[in-house]
Amino acid sequence: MKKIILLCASGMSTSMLVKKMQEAAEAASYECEIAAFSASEATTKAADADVVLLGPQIRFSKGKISEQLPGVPVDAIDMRMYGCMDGAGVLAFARKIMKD
Amino acid sequence: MGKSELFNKFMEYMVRFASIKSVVALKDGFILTLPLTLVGSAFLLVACFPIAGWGALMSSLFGPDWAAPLFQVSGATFNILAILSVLGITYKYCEAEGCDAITAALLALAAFLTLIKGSVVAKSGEVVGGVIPGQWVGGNGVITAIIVALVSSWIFCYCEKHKIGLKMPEGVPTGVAKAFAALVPGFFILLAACVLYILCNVITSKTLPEMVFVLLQTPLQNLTDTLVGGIIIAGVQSILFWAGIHGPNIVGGVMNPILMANALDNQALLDAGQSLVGNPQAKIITQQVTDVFIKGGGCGLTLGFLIAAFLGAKSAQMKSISRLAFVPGLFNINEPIIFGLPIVFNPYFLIPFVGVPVLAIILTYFAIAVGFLTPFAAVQVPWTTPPVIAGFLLGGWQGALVQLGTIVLSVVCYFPFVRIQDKIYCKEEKQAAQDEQAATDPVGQN
Repeated sequence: MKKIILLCASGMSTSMLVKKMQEAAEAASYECEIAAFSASEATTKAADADVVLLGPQIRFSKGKISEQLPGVPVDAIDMRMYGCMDGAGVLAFARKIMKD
Repeated sequence: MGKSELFNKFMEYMVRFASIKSVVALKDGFILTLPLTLVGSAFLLVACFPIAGWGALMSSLFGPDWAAPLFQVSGATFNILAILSVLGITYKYCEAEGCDAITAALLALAAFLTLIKGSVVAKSGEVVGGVIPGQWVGGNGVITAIIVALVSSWIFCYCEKHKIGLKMPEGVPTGVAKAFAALVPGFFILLAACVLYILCNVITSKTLPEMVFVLLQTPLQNLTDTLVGGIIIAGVQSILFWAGIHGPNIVGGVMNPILMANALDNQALLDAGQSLVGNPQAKIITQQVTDVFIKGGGCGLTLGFLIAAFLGAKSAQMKSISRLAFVPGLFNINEPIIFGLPIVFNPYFLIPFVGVPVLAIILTYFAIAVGFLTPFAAVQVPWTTPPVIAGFLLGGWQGALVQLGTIVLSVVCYFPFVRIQDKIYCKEEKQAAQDEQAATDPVGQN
């Protein structure tokens, strides 16, 4: 089962998106684990993730987080998708990165 | 250099600044003090609930000393802010570097305690030794705490990365090996603290925290505690968020220790039995002002945006996004509106998104300066507390009213800009509907 981790400043707004993504995954009967944390928890919570997605508001820390998570693909979520809480869109984005 | 180029340069520097190791550690580490100060606030709030007659009522019910146990709790949280900061910042720095974070944090705490005075002068003039003076482990020691944490972290990580330390032979349990590995960096850290203590004592006959407090912390606190300081804080975090970067996180990460020290100064005045209203020593700009009163509905006071959209928007896009954003907005989460509408890089919203918080801080500043609203002390509320309720908890009905004022202000300011954007969306939607119709109904084209 794939593990998708979302990170933002405090893990608040990404947790809203996680819910939408879980709904989208369920609708597509795609089994995966999705969770949100604050960016400062990256090393402890996201080291074993298959993909790490960043809220657009912290996309500047992509370099630092990639460095902390060797071997884990890290990318920022598209602003518009993020704002509209487009769960299906972000899930598709995550699967594209994982080549799933 | 063109204006947009200048702006890009500014953003680039801010992003680079926000990614500096020490800044990240300061931000993430200071956040660790939050659970304690918030829980402490809850106890303090009961002790000083912002309605008239509360104290008298409680005294009549539980006796005159009813609040003492509550102050015990708030004291044990706020008054060790510097200790919490040393531990938190060192921990986060070393954790991110992949070093033994907890050992480093404990060493940094020892270094901090080495540097502060080991005695207090009693009222009678007698010097009492064998104490940790509360005066220096709370708000007054915060800047020293940050410096000690960063320097200790640096020494510790340097030693660990360059393998400077005692190496145990194979087969020694990891815990034991770790303890020995920390001996050398620990020695360096505490030796540095010891030398610094001697130097400060010889040169100025003061301790480092006392010097830092006078030379660095007080000027910084006084700078933030001005209308201009407040406007800069409010403006910069909005400009950053308008550019799609979490402004409050970056600005707050650096400013919060100082703004918190401002609030604790006010608490110290209260504890000394002074009133804060009209007291020239009281600080006006505190963390509560920059956290609560300029962020109703989220950074940029976007609750006003949503209300303006409910009042005047006709386009489907504006309506659906403001509906989606409303409930999170009540809890001051506004990423949906910032990225969804979007406000980010949207030229129409630069003016209100930056202007509204600036006006709000001016309003709040004067509400406090004229004595309508009492300056804020140690009581804080979580940043997700809905507007008006947050204002009430912090400042009684006056606080609720001022916060309501900031929201009315934001509705008025956002309204014309919402209308402009709405008209554009309406036009786009109409155009899209026409195109669609033309595509499905080729006869109509003739």
